[in-house]
Amino acid sequence: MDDVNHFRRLCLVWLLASVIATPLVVFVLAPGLPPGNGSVQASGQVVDNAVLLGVSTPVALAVLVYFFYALVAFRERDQSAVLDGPPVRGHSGVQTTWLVVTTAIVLFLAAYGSIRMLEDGSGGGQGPNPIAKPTGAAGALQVQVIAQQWKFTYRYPSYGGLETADLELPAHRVVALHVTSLDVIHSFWAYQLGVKADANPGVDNIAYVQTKGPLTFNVHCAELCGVWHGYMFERGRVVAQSQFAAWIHQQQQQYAPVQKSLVPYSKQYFPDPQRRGG
Amino acid sequence: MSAIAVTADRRPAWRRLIGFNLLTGIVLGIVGWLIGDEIGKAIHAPSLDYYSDSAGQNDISILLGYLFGVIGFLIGLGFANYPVRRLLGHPPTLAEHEDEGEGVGRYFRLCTDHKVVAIQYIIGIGVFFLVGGINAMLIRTELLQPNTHVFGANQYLTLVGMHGAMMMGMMTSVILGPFANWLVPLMIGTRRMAFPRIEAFTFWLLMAAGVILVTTIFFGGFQTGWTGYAPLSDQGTAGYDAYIGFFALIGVSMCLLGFNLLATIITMRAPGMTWSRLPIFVWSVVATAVLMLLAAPMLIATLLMAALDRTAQTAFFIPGNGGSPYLYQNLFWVFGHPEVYIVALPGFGIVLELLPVFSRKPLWGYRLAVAGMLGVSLLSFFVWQHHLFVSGINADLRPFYMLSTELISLPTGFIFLCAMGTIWRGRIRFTVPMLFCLGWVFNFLIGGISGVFLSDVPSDVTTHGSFFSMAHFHYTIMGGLVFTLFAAIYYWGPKMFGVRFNDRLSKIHFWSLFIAFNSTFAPLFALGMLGMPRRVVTYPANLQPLNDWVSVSAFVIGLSMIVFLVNLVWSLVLKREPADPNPWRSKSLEWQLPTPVPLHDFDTFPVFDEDPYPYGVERPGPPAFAPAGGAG
Amino acid sequence: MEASAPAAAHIEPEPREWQPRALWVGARLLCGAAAFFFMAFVFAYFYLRSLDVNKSWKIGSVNVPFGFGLAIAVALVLSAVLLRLATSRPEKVVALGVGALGLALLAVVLQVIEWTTLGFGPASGGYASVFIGWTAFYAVFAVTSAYWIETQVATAWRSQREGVRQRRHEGVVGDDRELLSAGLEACSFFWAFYVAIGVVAFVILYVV
Ligand SMILES: [Cu+2]
Repeated sequence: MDDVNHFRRLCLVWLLASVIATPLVVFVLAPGLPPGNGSVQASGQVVDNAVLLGVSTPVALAVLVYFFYALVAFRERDQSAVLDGPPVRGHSGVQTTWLVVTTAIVLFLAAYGSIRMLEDGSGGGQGPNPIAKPTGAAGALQVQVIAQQWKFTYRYPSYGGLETADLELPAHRVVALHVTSLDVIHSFWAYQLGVKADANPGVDNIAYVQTKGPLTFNVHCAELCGVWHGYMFERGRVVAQSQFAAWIHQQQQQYAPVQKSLVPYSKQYFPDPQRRGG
Repeated sequence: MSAIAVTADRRPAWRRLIGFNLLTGIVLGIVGWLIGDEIGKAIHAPSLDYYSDSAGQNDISILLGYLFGVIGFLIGLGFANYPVRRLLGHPPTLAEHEDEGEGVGRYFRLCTDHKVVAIQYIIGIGVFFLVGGINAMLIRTELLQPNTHVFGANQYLTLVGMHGAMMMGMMTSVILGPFANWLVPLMIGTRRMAFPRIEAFTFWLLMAAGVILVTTIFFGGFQTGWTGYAPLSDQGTAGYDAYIGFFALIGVSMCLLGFNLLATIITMRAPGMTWSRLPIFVWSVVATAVLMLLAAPMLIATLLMAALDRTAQTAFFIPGNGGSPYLYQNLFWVFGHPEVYIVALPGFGIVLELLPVFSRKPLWGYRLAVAGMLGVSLLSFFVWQHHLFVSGINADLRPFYMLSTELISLPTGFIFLCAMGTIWRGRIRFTVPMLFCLGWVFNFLIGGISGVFLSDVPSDVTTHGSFFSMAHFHYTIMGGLVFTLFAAIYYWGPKMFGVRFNDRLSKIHFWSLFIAFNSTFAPLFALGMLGMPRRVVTYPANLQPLNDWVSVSAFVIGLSMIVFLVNLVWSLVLKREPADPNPWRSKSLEWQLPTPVPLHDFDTFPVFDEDPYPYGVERPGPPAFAPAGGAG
Repeated sequence: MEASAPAAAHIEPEPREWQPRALWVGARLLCGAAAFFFMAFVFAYFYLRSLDVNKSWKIGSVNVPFGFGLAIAVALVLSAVLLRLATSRPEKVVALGVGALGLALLAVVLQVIEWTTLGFGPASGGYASVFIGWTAFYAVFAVTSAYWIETQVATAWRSQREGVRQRRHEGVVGDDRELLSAGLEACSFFWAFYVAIGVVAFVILYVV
């Protein structure tokens, strides 16, 4: 059999495999993948993952099918003699095609990822001056996330700098999370909301999230921060607007005595350099 | 055999122990440690006790202890003799202790024969690879249960850090150390490396580094993982000093290894060995060595800054005093990303070197493969902030880093294309080294594809810092580096050790490793997606079944490594079946030499008239040369 | 010992230009490594300066003595010039080399004196950290380089007294002359490059 016939058969197998597998991956597997639809940003990540999977499935299949085909078709059947294959050292057409196709894929992926990210910030931490803002970011609810060894606390500057031990967010609202740390580097990971932002001492790292309906979400520290890093997790809640107002009011009452002794709200806090220990 | 008259050492055994050798090195190393420790205690003043130290340890004395210990160790091995002679004006020489016969003793002292250094490397690194592997087994033991703990949280993090540091630090040299030192001279047609003493130095420094890392357990361990992020490092116990000492020495060793390899390849190629005839493995060594030479100094500088922060009160990484943790992250990853390719690139070279032999075809797309390797090497300096997508550093630059990171898949794709072109219409033989190369193809494909998700910011927000990224880099490093390492051992082992490996055990080793490897790391992608962060000692109860599956699979990897060790002992020690000089019918130069390779490799230098892949054509014969002790 | 092995007649000697060229290439490669090492400090300088974290780039009055910096830089430059001159004046290698070595050590001594008389300490902010770290490791590697210079001077001195040795190492013919001049060239090139880094350090740390 000659090159062309081998190649035709190979392409046929690949096409068949891709046509079956890609829709399955994109439409069946991908929509169910984490982080789910807990927020606009989380849903965006699910869509993004589906696109990436849709592109990478045929690519991976191409390599796999090729290898399986070639290894079976060109295996040495005669083990007794050592015979050589044809001394082919390259094929400029194939090389050029490969270069063009892979470049196109890479440029598409980079462009798509950038556009997706710029659309709503994708829930990632963007430092003190974010450029990727979701619509309605100007009127966002400001919430400060303060990480320290080994817990998170939260401050609501629009409610008098109230500091609480629990995170509650109103539903259907744009929230700007200002993530910072009092000691070492932590990372605030609100899993179902699709939010992750590193907490650095002295840095105001802003991540946007647009909440959807009521939801309980997991918060976990995602950057190694010392001995009890593994235990730095808790739950947060997205609740209806009215419930949120009630909760804030109740928290203000509860923490009123402590509030007076707190340092004033600031976008960054600097740990005392003499006290490196936690 | 050898062209050089070898005088047998007839001294009694105990006499032979005295002199410049490993034993003296260890003794002087301990003496040096004690001296450094005392000096440190003398320097350590109340004014330097500015920062409270939780472990009650004195960082200065520990770091000086390591420094003087290493110096003592090297003096004991005999590394100071030549520099002192040079200080007194004696002319330069190129080698030391090369001609001391064929005994085992030369493996335990400073020896500048590139073949001896290679064997030292493979055994020495092997021991520490085992340590790193055992750490991994212990980590997986701990993770069998979310809430019943075998280890304390601190012990667990120390295990994680040691495993990571051992595998990412010392294993940077696991292919270049043994195989580049052994092969590059033979492949390009020279008898030695350009700087043989530096070659030996890189090995012994690595051994000192490995021991230093292990000593962390006496000083409270370290809690920072292999990345050693500040300011967590600043509050770390004295065990973190071991991390600094380890990684800084690794950096020196890496830098000098790359330096030596580059100098050798640039200047000492035999007649006719032009750049376009260089075996592709040597090209991968060039690409790696450039990264080692240039990236490792940055690591050393970064760690020295961390050491100054801990001892001399500077504030490079301490925000309250004008430093920045971002500075550490930037500097570390400017080194750290090239470092990832230092680990991956030699594997590319091995795969492309072996595929032609077992497909009986020339390497397909030689220039493309070279361009791919050099391209990866160059691009790897421009992608480091993809480790910091959610850190808040230069968020505006993320589209650039997304693009540059994904661009690396172009040159990496060339490697795949060349592999695919090479096997096309070949006459493929499924030998053990070939199986490991094919294993690389599968693993690295998955590693590469999963990398796309981490390089893409929206997707990275969830996967970053989770078990997903952990699975990704194990697919590229363990699936890439370790599989090609075994390919190299099974392929060149018969030449290096002169014995044949047991084929059945080798095949059991491959299949059990391949299956257990995938069964271990594929579920970790799922665990990451399900929300399990890295380096945690506990996890949600609903993730236990998956974690147990992973742990059991990891133990099977451990068993598979035991099969390998049994194979080694059986083939190298017990059976010792002499190997065919060219069992794979390879056409490259190293296989044309007798087994074992004689002391001085060649009597006359080879003259090359083509690259080492003349399959499918009638070749006039192997390169013209006379092997040592041959006809000449 | 290494030089005692008699080269068997039928062993083809190694091309004699290999090792001198390896020294030439090696010196350039080392320059690359040194550049990347100090690049970390250059980066730290500009990064911390631009961030000015906690308004602590300079805490209190952090002023470096310009005169000291200038003196160190001048000593280094003169040293490099002398050593470079030595490569083209084989008969004056010892004299010029001793001068270069003396100036290199003088620079280090001046640096040490500067540290002990500084008006600020390492904890005085980002600038102080970079200043201390950079100069400290610059001095350490300057001492190492001084060792290298010393070996060149000592070898030249001994070969003038005792004559140039035949290269007896297995597989290499000829005498040491080429190797010695290549070694001196490599050493002087690296030292000149290293001094250039020192001048950059002077400009960044004292002038900018
Ligand atoms: Cu944390």
